[in-house]
Amino acid sequence: MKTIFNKQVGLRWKHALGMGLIILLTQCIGNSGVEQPLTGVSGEEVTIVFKPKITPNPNAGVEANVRLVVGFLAPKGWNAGANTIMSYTSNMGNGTMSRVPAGRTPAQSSLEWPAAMMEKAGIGGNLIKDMEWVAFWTDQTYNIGGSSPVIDINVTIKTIPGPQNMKVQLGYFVASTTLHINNASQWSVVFGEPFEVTGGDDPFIDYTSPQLAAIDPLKNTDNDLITIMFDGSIIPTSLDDAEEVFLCATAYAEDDTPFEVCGQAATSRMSNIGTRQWMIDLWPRKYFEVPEGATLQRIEYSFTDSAGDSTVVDQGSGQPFIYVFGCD
Amino acid sequence: MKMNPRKIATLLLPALVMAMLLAGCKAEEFYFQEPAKDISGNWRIIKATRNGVDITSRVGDAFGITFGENGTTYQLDDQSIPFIVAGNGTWAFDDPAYPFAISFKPANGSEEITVPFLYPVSEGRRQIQFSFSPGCSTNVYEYLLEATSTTE
Repeated sequence: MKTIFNKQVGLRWKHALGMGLIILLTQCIGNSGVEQPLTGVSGEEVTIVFKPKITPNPNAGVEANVRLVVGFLAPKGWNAGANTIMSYTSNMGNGTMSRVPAGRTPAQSSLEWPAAMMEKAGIGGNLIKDMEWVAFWTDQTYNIGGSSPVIDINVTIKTIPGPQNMKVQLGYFVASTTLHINNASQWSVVFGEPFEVTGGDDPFIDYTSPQLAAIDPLKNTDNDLITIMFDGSIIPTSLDDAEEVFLCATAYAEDDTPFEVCGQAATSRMSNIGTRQWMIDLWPRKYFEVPEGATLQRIEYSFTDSAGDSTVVDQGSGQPFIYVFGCD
Repeated sequence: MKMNPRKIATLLLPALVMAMLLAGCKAEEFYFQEPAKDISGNWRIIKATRNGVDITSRVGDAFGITFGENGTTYQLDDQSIPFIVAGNGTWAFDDPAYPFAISFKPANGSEEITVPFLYPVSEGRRQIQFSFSPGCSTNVYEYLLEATSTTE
């Protein structure tokens, strides 16, 4: 009994000592914002400057061989890991950066860097989850702490917007290889103003505003299981009082052959998932009875009630919503 | 020249012991041989995820498959969700004793597709788990099937 008690007291001391060490050794990481344009052209390079700031603790010791880690949040379709270059300037020196190799995790975390960034910082104001963090770190290592001055860093991010026209909120994350990512003062994130991509493929996708109609996942072929959602809670529609909502859709093959499924059949009935929110899962090839050899190019769809009297279409165009199949 | 019977015994004994040992080794090899996996029978879906999100309650038991013996036919039940292949055909293990993958060859002439699979036991029931991407490679589906009847 005594031994157990002593062991526990010993552990508590070790714990307390460890906590003290962490507090003494760490610096605070923050940022002074981001300079990011509000628009970009699909496929053309965009330059962004992110400004991390490190405030060393003057009472702490020096941490050796530290790398600064910077994350960039972008739509998956941008393939930002391959299409982004980062470099930095600072009062501690300038240098190049490269992708954090796969398998590397922040200190005291079991998640790899991109997953840890997603867990800590999320996807900001984006309502479409088709986003990813890509992680870069400084090629050079530093000794930081003690009498180091406050370090102001300018990270230059050169990236290439993907092929889709869109409005999206990009994100910028900073941490270091030695600091404890589970402590909120040891990492920092900022999300830019909504960024609009033009000159690419339509339809335009707005990641940042609630959508009357949306498809999940964002990218599909006709051989995926797709979820079509109707969110009538964001604006008044003619289906506000509907007790049942049905999908009315026409899929078009690549040669424009139409496959229409518009009726009040049980297979077209949407599930009610919230106040004026409806959803249906479907496998397009089966749902539209697409013959072998034909491939769907798009779906044009609207929502209707059980009598077929009230129909909700795209409020902007006055036409059915359009979803175009395609992968990243 | 005549050999002393004792001498013969002295020479033969080690040879006999060696022969028995070798025979023993051979017997043990057979003893440890993995029995061929048998998944023939009907399987129903009990869990489905899409990109890590559990969609089981939404798709219900919308998928089932019946396997014949290794190297023979498979038959898809009337399905309302995508699978590795879309039509009936023939299937085979990559290795009957230590299978890690199953290949499906639809009879409609579509290309043969080979996917890795897991074969766990849960609460005494055999299960098969497939992970696959029938559409965009970024969309990953995992189906967990449980045997409704097998010849095992």
